[in-house]
Amino acid sequence: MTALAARMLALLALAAGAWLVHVFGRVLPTWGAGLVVVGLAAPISLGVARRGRLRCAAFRAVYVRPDSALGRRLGGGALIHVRAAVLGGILALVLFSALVRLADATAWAVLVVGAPAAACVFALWRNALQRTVTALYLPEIAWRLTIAVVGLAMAAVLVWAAFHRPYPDMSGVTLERAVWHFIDQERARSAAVQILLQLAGVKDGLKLWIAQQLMPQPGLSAGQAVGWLVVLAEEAVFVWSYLSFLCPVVIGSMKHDEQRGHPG
Amino acid sequence: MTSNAVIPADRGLLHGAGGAVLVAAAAALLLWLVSNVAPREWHVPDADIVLDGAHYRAGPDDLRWLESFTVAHFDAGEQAARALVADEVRAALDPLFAASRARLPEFLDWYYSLRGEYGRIAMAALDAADLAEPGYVARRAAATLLPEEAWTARLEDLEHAAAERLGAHYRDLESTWRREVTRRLSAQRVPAPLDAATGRPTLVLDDLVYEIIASEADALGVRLSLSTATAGIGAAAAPALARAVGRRAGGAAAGRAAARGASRIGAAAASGAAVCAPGGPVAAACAFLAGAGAWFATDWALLRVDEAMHRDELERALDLALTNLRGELERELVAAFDAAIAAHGAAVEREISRTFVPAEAGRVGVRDADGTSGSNGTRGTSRDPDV
Repeated sequence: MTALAARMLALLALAAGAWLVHVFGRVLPTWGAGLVVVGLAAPISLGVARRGRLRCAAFRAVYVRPDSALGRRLGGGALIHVRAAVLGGILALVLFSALVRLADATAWAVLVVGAPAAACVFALWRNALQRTVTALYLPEIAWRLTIAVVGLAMAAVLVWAAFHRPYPDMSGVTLERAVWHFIDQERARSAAVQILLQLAGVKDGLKLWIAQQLMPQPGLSAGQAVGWLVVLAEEAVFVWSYLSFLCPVVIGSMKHDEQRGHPG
Repeated sequence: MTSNAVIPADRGLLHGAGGAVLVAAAAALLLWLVSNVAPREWHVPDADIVLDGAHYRAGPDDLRWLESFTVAHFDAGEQAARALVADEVRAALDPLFAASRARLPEFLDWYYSLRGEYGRIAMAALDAADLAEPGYVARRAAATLLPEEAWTARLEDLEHAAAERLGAHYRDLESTWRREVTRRLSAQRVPAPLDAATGRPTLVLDDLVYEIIASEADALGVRLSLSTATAGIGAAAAPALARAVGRRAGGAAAGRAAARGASRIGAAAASGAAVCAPGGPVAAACAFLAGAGAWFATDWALLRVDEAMHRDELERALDLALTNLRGELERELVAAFDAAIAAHGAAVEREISRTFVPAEAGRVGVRDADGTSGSNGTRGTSRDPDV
């Protein structure tokens, strides 16, 4: 089996893990949900940290003398990991609530297909750019382009699915009732998880109520464009967090690449 | 270099067909799973409560409290209604029987009058010849002491007054219940759902209150038959009074009648002979008039003696009969009201049990994932005007 096939299988395993979060997220106890969030945050943080160290190494290789004091300080250490942990934690919470609440089969098909597709697209970009971009920065640029292509495609399909999804009619409903409608649907064994899901429900209620109050008339308008941009941004954040979750497996280990920027 | 180690392997993308098949199979399996396996849902054993159009969310403890409070509240209300009706019946019967007692001398005056005496004799003769119904004295006593129009009007007043007081009592009971339930659940008030199918058991307490009010109307319908029930009581008054008259005065009257028979004949004969001694055609008329005068005079004198000897005793007997009749009437009336109250109470209890069936489902968390049992348990439709 090739490394790419192995990587695609590993990504499918991660997608399966995400699906298990969806299946069991509502019945997990708080400690179980905490472990799951940590399990989601760890690969995200790992990917962010790896890419951070990679960028740091590239910066050092280009701009800083290895024997200088600044070169010794810019080791890509604690600060990168703290930032990665914070970002990983936030994205993990976003991803956890989105995965648990994602009930659309089409959206799940997008996530399943998107995982191996990310590996393929990453390999394609890497092969295409390896003669153009320095080896040190190649994984980062390939990953960015992968996110651009795969992420955009996934977000486009998710927005399309969102467009065709039926929504409750909130045209004659108060904001309180609209928000409560979504809050009330969120039930989870863990109180913390329930609060997280309810917060996501508040977001959905606000979004739909504003959309239906401000854009009740069909047809194109600036308001509708803004509304769909909000939906696109929301899907983009979700896709970003999902791809960040897959990132460490997609880009693989880059210890050697990082060391090239920091030979000392 | 790691990148060098990876890139050559990736360069050919999927060299091994086995790897491609494996990835495709894994992806297909995962796609099948995400399309066919439903997520595990967490069922919260709570219920929606609708009262006065407002929605509340109640947990198992709240539901237990609500059911026991409702049962206890309406039970206590039923007991209070019984006491209230008993008071009302007493208040209605007291003046009715006071008036009856006030009419006792009138009846006794008639009883110890010549008119009364000859009326009794005439009715007894007609009764013997099957030309009149028996019980003339009793009927006369009932008509004098408890004239039908008086007690019918009084009982109609009682019926209306009791219905009004019961109505006010039940309204107060219901508003107290609403206040207490609203106060208890105020912290759990939630906005109305967008659609009726919330997936939770729904207790429409407005329906419960509606059914209780309807049941009260049925109970009032039962109370309307009170007049029919009391007509029987009116019929029972005559025999009760007859027993009193017969028991206390029967023996004396029999002796008195025998004595009067002998005295009358003797007195009439003596008077006729003494007053009309001259003879001739005038003498016969004279003898008849004198005999008749002596007959009436003897009767009057004997009645006075009889009255002097037995009037107080008869009065006491009639008074006792009235007291007993009053007790019997009170029991009958209270029983009639009690039956109506009990029917109302049973209907309320049935309605409470029926209403809280969805709550039972909510307590144990037995509900289908699609909320079908909740829908089945949901009674009525949402009354929220906003929906």
